[in-house]
Amino acid sequence: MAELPTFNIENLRFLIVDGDENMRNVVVNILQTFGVRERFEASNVEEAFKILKDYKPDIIVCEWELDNISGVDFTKKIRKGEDYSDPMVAIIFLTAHTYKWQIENARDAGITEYLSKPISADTLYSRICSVIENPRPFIEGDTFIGPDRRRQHDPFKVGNARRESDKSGGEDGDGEISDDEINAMLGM
Amino acid sequence: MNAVFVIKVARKDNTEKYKTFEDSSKAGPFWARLFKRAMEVTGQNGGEIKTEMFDADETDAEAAEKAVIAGKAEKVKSSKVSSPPNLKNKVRLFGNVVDAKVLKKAQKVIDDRKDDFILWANEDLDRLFKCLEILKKAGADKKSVLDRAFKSAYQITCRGGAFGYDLITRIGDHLCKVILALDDVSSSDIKAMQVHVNAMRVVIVQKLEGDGGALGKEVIKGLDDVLMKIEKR
Repeated sequence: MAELPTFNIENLRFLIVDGDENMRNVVVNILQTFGVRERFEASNVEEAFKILKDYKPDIIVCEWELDNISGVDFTKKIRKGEDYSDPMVAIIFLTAHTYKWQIENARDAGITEYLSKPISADTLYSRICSVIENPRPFIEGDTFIGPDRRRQHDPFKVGNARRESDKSGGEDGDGEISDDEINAMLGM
Repeated sequence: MNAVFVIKVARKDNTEKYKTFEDSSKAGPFWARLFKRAMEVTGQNGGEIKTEMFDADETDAEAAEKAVIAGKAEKVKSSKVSSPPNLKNKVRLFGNVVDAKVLKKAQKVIDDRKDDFILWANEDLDRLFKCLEILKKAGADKKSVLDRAFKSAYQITCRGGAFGYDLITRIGDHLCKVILALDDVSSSDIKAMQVHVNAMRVVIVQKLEGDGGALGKEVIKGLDDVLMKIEKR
């Protein structure tokens, strides 16, 4: 693993959402060792929304497999701003699911980072660093709400296939358009 | 009347700009470039840019723009690009930083719970064993039993590798995939699940850490074949 930056993250506020109490404790203990002061835990989505509303965490570490609704649906609800949650909150998805379609589903739901279980201190910290160092523009399109999915270094590693859903805010081709025209439209 | 496409850009400072296209094939590429640039601009300078494309049933550009302003044009698509929350403001580069020493200490938090993992795995394996016993009986609510079995298999998968038991994570992952691929449960499916549970039990009893070496490879190869057969059905 490449050398990670040395950040002091004690002021970041975390919410860990995982129905597995044992693994939730492990993540909480790791964050504690990282110096994080405010660590909130939720075993289900209802508890999570209450914490989101009351404490406004900066980063959510969320498991895919939750009771009642999945972490993917939970992410979609957050991105839509349901229950007064901050739609732009960073979501690190923590899961043992490894099928390509599952990773794509999570990405299209609007997660920020994907972290495959089993977890290690290094891998969790590397995703936290990525959220801090590489914030991506937040898109609210007709069919997608979440951080820009098309960054150069794709954290999801699922290839660069174009999706139909991208058309809400995506590229339809280049054409012969000058940068001046584009900048003028954007008031640059 | 002809359709005229209008692209509208609105910024947070309330400035609005319009561009009209009598040739619809040119509106798409312009939209794409605009969107890409909007992402660059918000990424660099912050702010918020809202772009919308309208289809106006008008004969000329001026009338189409007026139709959009009057709310009489049909919206084709829209997107809003905003600068993301900047967590760097809450992060410092001094004081209680996460360095190699802290990472090592944090990893020890996980490693110190290795014995707990064995307990948890045995509990999950007992639950899986009970699920299989229920599935063997006629009249069982198979879906709910499979859901319970999946939960236990998934927990083992999530936990194993974290505590050095990579092989059990791979077997657990296999079992999850087998369960997800099942529509109904035949006696051969139960046998397939049983093979996985037995294999995981061996890993725990023998405390086979890591990938299990040559034996581990052989086990995974055999389970690959089982999964392939089920997924092909």
